[in-house]
Amino acid sequence: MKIKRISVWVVALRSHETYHMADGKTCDVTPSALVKLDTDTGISGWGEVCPIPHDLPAYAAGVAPAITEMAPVLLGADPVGPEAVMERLYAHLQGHFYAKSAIDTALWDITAKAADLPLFALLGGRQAQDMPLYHSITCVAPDEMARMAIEAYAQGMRQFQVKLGADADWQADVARLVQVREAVGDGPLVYGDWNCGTDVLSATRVGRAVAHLDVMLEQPCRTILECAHVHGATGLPMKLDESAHDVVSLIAGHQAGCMNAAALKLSKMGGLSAMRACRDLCLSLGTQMCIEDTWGSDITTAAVVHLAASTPARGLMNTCDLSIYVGPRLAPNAPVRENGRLPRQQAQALALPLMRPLGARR
Amino acid sequence: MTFDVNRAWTPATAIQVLNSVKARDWVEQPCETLDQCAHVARRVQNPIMLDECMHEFQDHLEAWKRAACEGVKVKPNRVGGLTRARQIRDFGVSVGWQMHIEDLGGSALADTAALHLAASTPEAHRLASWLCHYHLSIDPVPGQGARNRQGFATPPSEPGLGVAPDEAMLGQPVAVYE
Repeated sequence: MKIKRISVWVVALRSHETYHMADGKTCDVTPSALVKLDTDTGISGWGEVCPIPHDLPAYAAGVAPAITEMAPVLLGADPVGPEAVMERLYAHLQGHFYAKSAIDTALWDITAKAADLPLFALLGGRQAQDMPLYHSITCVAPDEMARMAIEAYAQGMRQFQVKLGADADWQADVARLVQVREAVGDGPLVYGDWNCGTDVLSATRVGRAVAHLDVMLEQPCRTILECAHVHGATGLPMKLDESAHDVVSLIAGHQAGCMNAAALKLSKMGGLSAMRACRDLCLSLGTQMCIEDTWGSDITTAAVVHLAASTPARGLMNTCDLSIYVGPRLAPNAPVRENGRLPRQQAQALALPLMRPLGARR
Repeated sequence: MTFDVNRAWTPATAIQVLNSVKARDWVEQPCETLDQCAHVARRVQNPIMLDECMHEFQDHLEAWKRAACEGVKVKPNRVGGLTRARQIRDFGVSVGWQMHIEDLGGSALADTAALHLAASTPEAHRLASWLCHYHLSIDPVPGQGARNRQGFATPPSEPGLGVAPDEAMLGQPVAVYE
């Protein structure tokens, strides 16, 4: 089998509720890059990457130029067996993990279709009956966030990510954690996420003010060392995201003792191939995983759900149905949440009969 | 060249021998334990490959943390199968190890399973593989699988493992469950 055509689209995803994070990072209308690989056998594969603006060293408009650079390696290559193709791409163009992520998903889509198997069968086989979801709450006024938490709770959600730091007011962050914790009652998992947007002192003040509560903190500062200081000073469990992006940085987080949980994301890790190796590592390290992506629609959601479905329940903290947060829906048959979880029958082959995507074809 | 000590040296012997010879080739499993091998690795110039003291994934993580080796043997039947061997292989690629990817021993069936893993490993991290089957007088998968061709082996490209034993040659199964 040979790749004979690469098509790239950029689709504007509009958030149903504008999503605010620390440091002015906002998702309102967010461009998402869709990639389609056509082969000489008629099998095609899809991939998607939607970087949040100002979040990672990534931007949606960068996908097409990176693919222009990689096209000579891709065209004519055998897409079955994604890791071999990705190895050649890494040698050809250093970095640019986000652009490679969309390619990698498309290669896995083709490989699973060629094997006539759902993708989760190639990533380890189905391990979870259904998968827990988390609901991410945009950083606005504390009482408004508590209201959103109650709304999501009523839909069955039992894990809540509370975005912090958008107004650089540590006392408001304390109120956010206190009010959301109070709103959802005892039991559900609540964690406050700064997305690297605060400093050790502010995070420590927030953490110590809520240290009597059952809450976890997520990536307060940019580096693992800073997060470890906050963890040590507050005694609260810690989740790492931005600073844990590959095998070596995951080990560093583990060694620093501040990685009770970690976010595995396609766009920062460079696709399913790299993310699968990180998933296997986290299982060995005993780290709870959020298997997800930065942002995106149905293709991204399907890809992460396949990896989540092939992950033993003991390591899977949650996954994310990203497409619920944005419109338009790109594939009507893609997974949809039910009672706070993604039911097993919804994670089928990545084969997504896409509607004609919006935006210009390149 | 790889000199395989198979755990036979004490740390002092390893340091004396390796610092007395000019050879700077790979040395495999000089001493019994990971502790001893890590101690030796700090005091000699040869690259060290670990084998018998590596059982679980955690041993590989520990070996890397302690800079105890520059490579490992990846043997599916020693670590519990291809799934775990793949995880170790992926880790080895991530931390820059060079690996011998092969099995403990066995016919061309076991050799070929390991060779599939070797073939899917980036070249820079795949030092070499050993084939067991040509040391054996019996060949239950005649002519099939990964075989030596001028010092190189290629895994079969048909679906699956690409090896199917001749059941007549195997005789009666020791157990059958239905």
